[in-house]
Amino acid sequence: MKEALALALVHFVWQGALLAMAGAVLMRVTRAPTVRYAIGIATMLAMLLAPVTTFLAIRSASDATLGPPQPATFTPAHAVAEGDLRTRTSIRAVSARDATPSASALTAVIVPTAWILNIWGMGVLVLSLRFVGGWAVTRRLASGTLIPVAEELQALAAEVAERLNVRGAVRVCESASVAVPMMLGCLRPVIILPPAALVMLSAAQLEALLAHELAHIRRHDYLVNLLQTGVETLCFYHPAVWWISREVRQHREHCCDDIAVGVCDRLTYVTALSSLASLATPQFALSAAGGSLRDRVRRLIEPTTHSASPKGAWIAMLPILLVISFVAPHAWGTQSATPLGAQPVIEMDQARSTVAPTAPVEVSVAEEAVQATRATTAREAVRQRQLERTRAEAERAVEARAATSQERTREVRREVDRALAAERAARAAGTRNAMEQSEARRALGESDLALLESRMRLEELGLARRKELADKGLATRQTLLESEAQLNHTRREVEHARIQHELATHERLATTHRNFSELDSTDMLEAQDRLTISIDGEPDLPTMFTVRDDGSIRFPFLGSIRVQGSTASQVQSAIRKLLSDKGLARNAVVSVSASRIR
Amino acid sequence: MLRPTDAELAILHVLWDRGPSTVRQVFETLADARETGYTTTLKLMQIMSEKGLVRRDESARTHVYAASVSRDKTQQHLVRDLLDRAFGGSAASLVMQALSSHPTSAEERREIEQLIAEYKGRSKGKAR
Repeated sequence: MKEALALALVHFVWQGALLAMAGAVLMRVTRAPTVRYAIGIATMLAMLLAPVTTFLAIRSASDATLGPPQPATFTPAHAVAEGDLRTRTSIRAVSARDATPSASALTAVIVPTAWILNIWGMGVLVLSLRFVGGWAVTRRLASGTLIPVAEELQALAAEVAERLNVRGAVRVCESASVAVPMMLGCLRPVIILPPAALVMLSAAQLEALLAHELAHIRRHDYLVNLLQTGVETLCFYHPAVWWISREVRQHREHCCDDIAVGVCDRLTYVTALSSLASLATPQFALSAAGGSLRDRVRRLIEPTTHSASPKGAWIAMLPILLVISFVAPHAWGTQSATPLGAQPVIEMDQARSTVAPTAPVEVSVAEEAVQATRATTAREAVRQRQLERTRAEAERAVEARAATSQERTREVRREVDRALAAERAARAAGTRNAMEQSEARRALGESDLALLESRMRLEELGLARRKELADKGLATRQTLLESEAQLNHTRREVEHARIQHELATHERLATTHRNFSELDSTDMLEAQDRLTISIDGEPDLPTMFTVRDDGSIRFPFLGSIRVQGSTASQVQSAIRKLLSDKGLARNAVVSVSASRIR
Repeated sequence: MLRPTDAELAILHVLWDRGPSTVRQVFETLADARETGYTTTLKLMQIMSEKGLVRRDESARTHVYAASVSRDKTQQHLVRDLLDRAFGGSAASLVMQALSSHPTSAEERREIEQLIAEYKGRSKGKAR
């Protein structure tokens, strides 16, 4: 029984190596963390079952052999190494009774049972103590100074739990004894947050972290982890067990990362993780189980460049373990330990020859797979970069084209404006000339008329005087007739001049009307507009004003008045106000009308 | 509660054994066991008073110090501390931590921040 156990433990050395290798190869095939996690768990289960099966097989084999097994023909190993496998197996079958070839192969190793069992036992004891101590610490943490968090956070956690389909009530508490958010417990899970996290993280980031922990709860990771620790305790001496355990923990974190990122935004989650990382050194030691934070972050936000392979510790492990697995039996075979079946190491050679050829093939297959995946990832990366470059160039081209078309439109518009302005200016100049000419003519006509009128009056007076004299008999009839004739002539001239004057005025009005359009009361005045301003009771003031280029008119006694932008009625009230301000006239009646050159 | 250092623990033991004492009395008891000076002891007890480990009664001309933490509680605390140190690592591997990795070095943190900034830039570009 003890020997069986010892043998089982020894055989686990190569069994574990093989299982680890198989697990690593399978993990390389897929990229999804969930699948890899499952493969890892399966491998660990296999690693747990392997020594058990070995033990049972050996037990049944030894039970089958009643009495001491008869030693078969003992041939030195080196002579028979190249011999026929089948012959050796048959020899063994003949010598032992009812023993299967595999069991006999297993029992062919000679081991120092006591040593092995002692060492193994001590290791298991130490690790179990460590486990119990750790367990006690976590229990104290779970039932110690836990403060339930605020209502809103509880509600948030409940909502996320529902979204993730987490069954059962989950407590969320805060405690000053933890440095990072953690989850523990399988029957009554509790999420513990450090106070720093509650202060430092935003609601969205907290939601992401809660999603991560709730994902652990949903997947029963705490329980699986406990079993994992159990396997670690029992098979502590095999490095493959620690390696696969670490891989499983890493992939577990990756799975929960993916679930958390599904609930919230990727950037929020990654920022939350990096904020946590900047917390002060924790009192509670962080286990090295999840892989470095940098790798996790990189995996989340750089999926194309993430290397798909699990760490290749197993490549280094393989030859070492193979060496151990066939050197050890040789070394121990020379001792006279209690043999179970005094079969020599011939049977071990059989095992070795079956193991050795397959190993290099598997290695090369795995290497090819590695190279293939690496090539694909490289090609993908190159294509991705090309795509991005083309997209950037296209964007730049579109922007450039838009810019040039805008520029051209602006130029055309500027030219049109310039041409219009020139035309209007020319027309204004022409009209102004015409206006000035007719104005001049009218003015001339007016002064002529005034002159004639005054002459007429003089002649009338002269005639009246002559008449008086004629009545007195002092003037002759002839002179009287002459003065009358002169007066009539002058009257006729005055009439003529008056008609001329009227015509000229009409002409001016017509010209104005023809060339000017009336502005209504809401039009805003511009330069070159004509304003007709008249003040009741002041017929001698000039009435026609042209808005100058600076937008003002010059009004007698009032100086420069800015009219550009105002309406005619505004100018009217402005002038009235100015008149009363300057004390020239109070409540003057001002009328303003405006017209613009067409 | 703060964990008392070795020297502080020695002073606390004296106070627990003797009850409230003056600095001179504590020093004399300690001087048998260690090579400390009076001023060192005085300084230590003042620091402990500030930390809250001892209380100081200033009504008399010479101040009388008394331990403000009980012996049992301190021992419990020390044992718990020891357990935490011994089994902290093992406990850490039992719970599911959000950040189950060795403490990130400053360089790693900078790298992470750079990665995040790059990602932000890329996602802004895609949104445009």
